[in-house]
Amino acid sequence: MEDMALKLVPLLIQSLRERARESRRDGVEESATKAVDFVLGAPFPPPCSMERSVGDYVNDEYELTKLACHFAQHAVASYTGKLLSSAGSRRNELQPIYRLPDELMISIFESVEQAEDNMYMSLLERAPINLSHVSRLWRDIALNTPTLWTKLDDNNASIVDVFIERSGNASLRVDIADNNFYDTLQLTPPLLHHVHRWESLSLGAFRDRSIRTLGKLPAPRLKKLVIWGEMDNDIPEGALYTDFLGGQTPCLRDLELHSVHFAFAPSLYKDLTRLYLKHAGANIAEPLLAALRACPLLEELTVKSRDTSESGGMGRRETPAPISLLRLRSMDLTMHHGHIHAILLPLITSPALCISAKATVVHEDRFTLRDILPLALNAQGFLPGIFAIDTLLLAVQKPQTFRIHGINSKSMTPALTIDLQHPLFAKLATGVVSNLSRDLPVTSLSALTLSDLPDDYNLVVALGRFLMNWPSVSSLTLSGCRMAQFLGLVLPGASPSLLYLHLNHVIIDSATLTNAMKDRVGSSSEADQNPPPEPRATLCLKLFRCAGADEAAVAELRKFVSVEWDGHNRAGIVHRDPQHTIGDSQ
Amino acid sequence: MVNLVTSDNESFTVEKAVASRSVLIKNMLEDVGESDQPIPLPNVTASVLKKVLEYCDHHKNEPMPTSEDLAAEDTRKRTTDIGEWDQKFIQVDQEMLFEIILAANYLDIKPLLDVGCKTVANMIKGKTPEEIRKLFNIVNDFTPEEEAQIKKENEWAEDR
Repeated sequence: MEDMALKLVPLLIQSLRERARESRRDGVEESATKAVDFVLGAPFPPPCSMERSVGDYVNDEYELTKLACHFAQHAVASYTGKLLSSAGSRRNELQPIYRLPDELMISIFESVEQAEDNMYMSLLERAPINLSHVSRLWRDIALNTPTLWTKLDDNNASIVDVFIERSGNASLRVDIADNNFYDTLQLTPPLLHHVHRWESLSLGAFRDRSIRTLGKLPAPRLKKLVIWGEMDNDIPEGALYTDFLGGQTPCLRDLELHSVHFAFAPSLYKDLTRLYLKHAGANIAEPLLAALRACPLLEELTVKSRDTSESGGMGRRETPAPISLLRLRSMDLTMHHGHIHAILLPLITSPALCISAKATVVHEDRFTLRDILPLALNAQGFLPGIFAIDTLLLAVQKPQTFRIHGINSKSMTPALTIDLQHPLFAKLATGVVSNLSRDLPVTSLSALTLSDLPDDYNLVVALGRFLMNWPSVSSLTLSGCRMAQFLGLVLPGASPSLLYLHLNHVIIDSATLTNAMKDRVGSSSEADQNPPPEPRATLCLKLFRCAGADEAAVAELRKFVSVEWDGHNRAGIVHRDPQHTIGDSQ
Repeated sequence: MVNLVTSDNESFTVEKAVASRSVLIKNMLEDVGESDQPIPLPNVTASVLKKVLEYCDHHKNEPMPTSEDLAAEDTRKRTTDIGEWDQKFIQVDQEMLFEIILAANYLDIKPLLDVGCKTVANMIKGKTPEEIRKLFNIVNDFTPEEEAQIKKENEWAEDR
């Protein structure tokens, strides 16, 4: 009977579709709302013989009809459902997004799933659940991409078993921020059963019992570990014991500790490439250096500490032995001066290469570049990368950052970046510039940019001395400064090798600048003669968005130097300069 | 200069630096050496190639992603952030958006492919299945059995 129903129902549907097509062609509107009057007559003819009662007969017929209708309904529902599904799939195939191959759809799905705010969506709006409920193709892709189901956190803890099952054997990313961390683990044993698949682990509200739970479980795939201490208690009693995670985390490369007491555990630090410590307890320097000795592959180090002890836990008497971190490229230290010195001193050793260092000193009002980057104190020599610098940018980014950025213009690679953060930037800038030629023995320096430097007489003097000591500088760029601050730098003898002077967003006094240029070319007497001397090629002046520049001033300057002018001044007035145009990019 | 011929037989003459943003074209140029022969691009139409070349021209001076960059990208957490210029560039209708993605995939221009995929990801983020269907003009094509399974999954998500 089922077979028959399955054969007939398609014919029925086919006939109905044909009829509907004809009706549409004839302009007849089919409607299912009109009253239908079925004349069923006597459904069950009475039996001829009297062997069975009429009641039994009618009852049998009823049961048979009920069964037939059940199969018919089932078959119709199944057939129409599949028909609609198939028609829908064919329709979907024509939509633009269906042209993307599966591998691109997977990449898009992964981007959606890994978006930062995805984990905070309600479960039904959260990828990959919402993606798997869109259409057959999307569901097929989502269910066959295990990596989409690997993020396990507080918000999907209730269906963690579904995620674990669909994630196959892919590595898991576990993020438990909730205070009920311990309870969460207890409630979701599958999470602990799969600890061998954990790739990253972020733990909030870290406590001693967290250690007890995870203490002996090896995590051979773990690459990233982030631990947060409790907010109301910066440094909890718990520490990273040597057997944390069974002491078996051979793949761990990235460790972040927030408000967790820092303790040396060689198994954790062995192959780290990134170490981030924030509020990791008092007297951190010594254990940190011990840890750094254990991770020679370190590339990025960040330490943010409020510890105000003078030496950072280092004994004053001994100089720590050098630590060779050949891959270290970036340091960001926010600490007391004593700590920075204690940590940097053994780290900056030859042959370290390019390094980007950002140092923020707390509770300190004076230091020089030598204090934070003790190159000259290093008996082995200087950073080889320093010699590759040919362009140096010195900038004060208000209110408190002083930036030193050295570039090798041939390879366009930064050879040194130091961001110094300090409230007293004026004093700092002067101090750093005063000692620059001593601290950074860059013999190949050819270009120097000074940006937004403070209005300080001592700084001007320091810069003048700096340029005198650095005769290789042929290009000087002054940006966002007052002209009077730096006029002395371009006078004759102050920078004899200067070929290019770029003034960006500088307020100029054209008469004073003209006189300075006149003095510089050493032709004050010649300038009075008629005709005026040819512009000298020795200095090229570039004016970009300089207030005070106009056609008359530029014409006057061109009597003494070659001038490129963008035709603008900072007041927004645009002049036409027929001779030169400087692009906005300069 | 390099001469590119699209599937609809239109020619584009572009700087080598621009064309070489495509790893496919770059490799072809390296294989054939200096040649005036046009490069056929049978999978890309003129309207799409014009858009792709606009992107390549804007980014021609940027360093090409190295294999190390690509490997690092796999291990890093993905973001769906897109640069300001790229955002404006990719503000096109869906038809063109998916054509650009397909062309970037074919021509092997990874940064453009990323911009396209991130744009689609941003369109999808935080939407219900019904909203996603409406956005891409997709219909629900689940069979009754699949529908029943999805209903059950929704109940899990709501109950637990």
